[in-house]
Amino acid sequence: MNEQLMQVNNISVNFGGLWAVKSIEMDVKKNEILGVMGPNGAGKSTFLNVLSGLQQPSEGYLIIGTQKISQSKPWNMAKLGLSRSFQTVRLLRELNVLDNILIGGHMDAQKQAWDILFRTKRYRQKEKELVSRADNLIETLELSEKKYEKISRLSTEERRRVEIARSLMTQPNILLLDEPCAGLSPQETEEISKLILRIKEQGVTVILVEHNVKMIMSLSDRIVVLDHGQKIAEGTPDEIAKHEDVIKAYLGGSVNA
Amino acid sequence: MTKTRLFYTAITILCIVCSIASLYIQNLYLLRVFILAAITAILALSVNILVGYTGQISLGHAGFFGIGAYMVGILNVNYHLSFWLCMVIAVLFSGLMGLILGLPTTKLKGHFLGIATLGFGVIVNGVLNNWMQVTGGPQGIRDIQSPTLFSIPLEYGNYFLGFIVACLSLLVLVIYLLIKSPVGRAWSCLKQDEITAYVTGIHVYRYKLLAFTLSGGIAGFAGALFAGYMTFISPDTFDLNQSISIITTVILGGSGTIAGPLLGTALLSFLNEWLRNFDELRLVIYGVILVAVIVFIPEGIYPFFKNKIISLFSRRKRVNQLKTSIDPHAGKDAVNE
Repeated sequence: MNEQLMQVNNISVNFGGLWAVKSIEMDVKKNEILGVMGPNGAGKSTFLNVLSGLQQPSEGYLIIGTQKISQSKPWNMAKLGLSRSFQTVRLLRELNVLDNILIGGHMDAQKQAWDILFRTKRYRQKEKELVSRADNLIETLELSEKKYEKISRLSTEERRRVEIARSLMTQPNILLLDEPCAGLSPQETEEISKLILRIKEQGVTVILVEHNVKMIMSLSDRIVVLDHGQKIAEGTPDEIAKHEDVIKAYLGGSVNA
Repeated sequence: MTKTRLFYTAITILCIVCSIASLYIQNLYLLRVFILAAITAILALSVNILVGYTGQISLGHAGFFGIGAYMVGILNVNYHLSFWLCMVIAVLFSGLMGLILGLPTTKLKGHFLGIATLGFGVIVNGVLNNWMQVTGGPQGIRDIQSPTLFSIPLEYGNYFLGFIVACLSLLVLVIYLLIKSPVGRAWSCLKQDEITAYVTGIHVYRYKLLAFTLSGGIAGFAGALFAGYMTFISPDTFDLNQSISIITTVILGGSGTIAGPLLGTALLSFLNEWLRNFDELRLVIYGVILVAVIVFIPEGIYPFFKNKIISLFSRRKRVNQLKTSIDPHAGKDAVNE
C-alpha cells in the first residue's frame, strides 16, 4: 500500500521570470488517490504538465522507479507509465469511440514493417488483443452502446469517459486526471467519482486535480494544496480541511477572523 | 466482414482487368494520357501521405519527383546502369532526401512548414537548372533507356500502362495496409491532435519523419517511372507549378482518403485534355472549375459524394425503421414501392 511509485524533487517552472511552480516536493504512493487542489492560478495544471512531460521543468527532477528524470519527452513519460486526461477533453473528433481508445494501445501494438505489410499471425493476434482490451474498457466504462459513435455525437460526460478509457488503454501505473468533472452536472460528477474509485480498485494510482472541493475531499487518500505555485499543505482530507494556510488561500483569511 | 471481403475482391479484379485491358488500347494519344495520369496518381498518393494522413503541408513535392527522375536519367545515361537498378537507387535517394528535409521541418507547422517545403522544391529546381555538368541544365537529359521487364519491352505504351497500373494497384494496397495499422492510427492522431499523440506514447517526430521518407520515396518512384516512359527529362517538368498542381489534385479529390487522390487525378487529367477544345479559354475555365469545387466542396469530391450517399441511405433506413415501428407491414411496403 505504501510502496513509493514516484518522487517529485524540487520541481520548479519559470515562465519569463514568473514562477508558475516553485520547489514542489512530494511522494506518490502505490494505489492511492492523491488530490491536488488550489485556487485558480495555483499552478496545478502546469505541475500536471511537468508530470506528463508536456512542460519541461526549469529546476528539479522526478524519480520514477529507479529512473531519475529531469528533462523528458512526453512519449517517454507515457512509456514510464504516466497517462493523463485534460481539463478540456482532447479526443479525435473524426474517429469513433473504439478507434479513439485504440490510440491508447499504440505502445503495445505490433509496428514492424514486415508484420504490417504481411499481416503476420503475431500482428493479427496483437491487434485482436488490443481490440479486446479496448472492448473491456468500453464495457467497464459503460460505453458499449456508443462504441461506434463519432465523438461529436457524445455528451460531455461520455467524452470524459472515453478520454479516461484511452488513458487506461496505455496501462498506466499513474493516471493524471485534470479536472475530470469540469462542466458536469452533480449526477454526472457522482458517476465519474465512482469510476475513479473503480480505477483505484484495479491498482492504478490516481493523481486528481479538481476544483470541486467536496469531490476531492471525499475521494482522495491524501491531498496536496498549491497556492501561487508553491505547496502550502499536504495531508489527509481531514488535516487539509483544518489547515490554516489552506483556509486562508481559499477564503482570503482565517475562518475565525 | 463478408461485404468487406467482397469489396476488396472486386477491387482486386478491377485492377487485374484494368492491367489486362490496358494491353488492348489502340489509340496512342489515349494511351499517353492514361500513362501520365497513372504517374500523376502515384505522385498524388505520395503527397496524400503527408497532407492527407499526417496533416503536414508539402509545397515542394515536385522536388522529390524531379530527384527520382534525374537519378534514373543521370545513372542510366552517364553510368549505364540498368533502369531497374537506377529506379531502386532513385526511390532510396528520394526517400533519403525526404528524411533529410523532414529532420529540420518536423518541428514546423502550418505556413512555416509550407514555406520550408516550398523552399526545398525551388532549391531542387534551381539545382536541376544550373548544375550543367550533371543535370544538363535547361536542356535536360535525353535518351534514357526504356525499361524491359522479363524481356517484355516497356517502351510500347500498352505494356508500360499495364505495368504502371499494376504498380499503382500494389502501391494502393501497401498504403491501405499502412493506414489500417498502428502506424496509420498514429498518423491520424498526430494529424488531428499532436498533444494527444504525445500523451499516448506516440513518438511524434519519428512518425512525421516516416511520413516524409515514405512520401519522398514514392514521389521518387513516380519520377523514375516518368523518366523511363518519357526517355527525356528537363527541369521545367519539376517546377513549382507541378508541386501546386499535385497538391490541388489531392485536395480536390479528397485528402486523407485513398480514393480521393485517384479520383482527383482522373478528373483533372481528363478535364485538362477535354479543355484543349477551348484553346485560349482553357486555363480560364480550368481555374473557374477548380475555384468552384474548392469553394463549394472544400472537403473534396470523393468525401462529399460518399457522405451524401451514406446520409441518403441512413435517412431511408431511419424512415423505414420509423414506419415499421408504427405499422410492422409499412416498412416492407416502402421497400416494395
